Amino acid sequence: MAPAAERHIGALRRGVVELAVLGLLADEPRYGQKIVDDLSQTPALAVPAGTVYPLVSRLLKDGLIESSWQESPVGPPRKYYRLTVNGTATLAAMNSAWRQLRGALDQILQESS
Amino acid sequence: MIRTLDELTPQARDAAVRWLDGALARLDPELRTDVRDELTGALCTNVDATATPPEVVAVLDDLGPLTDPGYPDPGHPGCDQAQDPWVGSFAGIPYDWRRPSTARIKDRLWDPTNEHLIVPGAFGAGWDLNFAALAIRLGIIEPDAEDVPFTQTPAAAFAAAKVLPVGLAAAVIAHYLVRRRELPSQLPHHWAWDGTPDRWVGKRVAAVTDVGLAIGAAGAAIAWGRPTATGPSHAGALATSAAVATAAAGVTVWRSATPGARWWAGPALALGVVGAAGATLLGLALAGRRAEQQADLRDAR
Repeated sequence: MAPAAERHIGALRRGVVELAVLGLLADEPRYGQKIVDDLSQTPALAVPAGTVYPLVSRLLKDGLIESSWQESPVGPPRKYYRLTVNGTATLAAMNSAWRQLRGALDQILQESS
Repeated sequence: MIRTLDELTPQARDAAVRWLDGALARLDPELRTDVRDELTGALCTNVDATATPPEVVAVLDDLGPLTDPGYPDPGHPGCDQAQDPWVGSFAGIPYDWRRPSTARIKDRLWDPTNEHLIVPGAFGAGWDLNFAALAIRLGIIEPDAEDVPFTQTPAAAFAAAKVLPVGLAAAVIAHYLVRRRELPSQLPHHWAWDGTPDRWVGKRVAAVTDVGLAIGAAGAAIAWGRPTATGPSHAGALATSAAVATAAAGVTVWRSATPGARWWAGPALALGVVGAAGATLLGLALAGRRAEQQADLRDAR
């Protein structure tokens, strides 16, 4: 794949990872590595930990998620992330915007193909 | 509809140019000419030659704020750098000539969310070592060990971090007091690439310089401990103090050593300075992580 194409696809992926992370945390609280692992199970959303951790940090700073350490049955304590009330509302708004975007884009791309 | 902005009144034209200059500053410089042409065309389509400045601005405002997904937005941490002439890179070497701040020093030396070990320097030309990335690679901390680094670090840890600069300052003072008679009247103050002294200065000047630097670092470490200091800026200040005090102590030792070629002395001094800052930040971060973890686990029980 051409470098320019890779760059644009990377930018596209990074744009939706925020929504994906909020969606995962709406399902259940997760720790950092679990978020990375769960995203990587879907190749289209696979992003490195170096992308996920800054994103999580920004979501924390924006008050969309909160964290707490919890004991782990298989190792040292882990830091779990969960949605805040503000995060839940933001996820709903982003979800709605995403559906509209997806519909509009599908229509444009079908017309151009 | 008009064909060019020159058909507008001078006042309306100036208003349009000011609006365009302000809006285009937020775009990648390479895109500005094309986007300016497009915006000018859209404006010309929607105004006539008698348009007043407010009417021109209203038409431009209707076009919406300019945003470029490939360029930092105004809220992005890198945006000030992208538009600041004092920050950039030359021949691939990053530079930052803004007045250094303890918060920026902390951000560059300790950024767990950045996986890169080498990052643009906090001040001057060159790079800094991101100790947090190093600690993560060595398995000492996790990338998300603290929500916001150093905000949970207890006061006792900050107090303990002052021991290094204060102790080094005391050692430098003691060195010159104890050895003042046996030291030669001239001490080196510059060394060749192989570590051989090539310029000399009087003993008194050398002592005043080293002691002054060490006391300054120790004093700053103590003064920065005021209650209003935030955790991150406090950590950056203590790391800076540790680095400066280590430099003063290292130079004191190097000056007083028997003259001779020591090619390793310069790199060792640089390593010591960087290591002192890194060790300070690592200790504070580990203390903060432990405090955050203990508080959460206590609440969960």
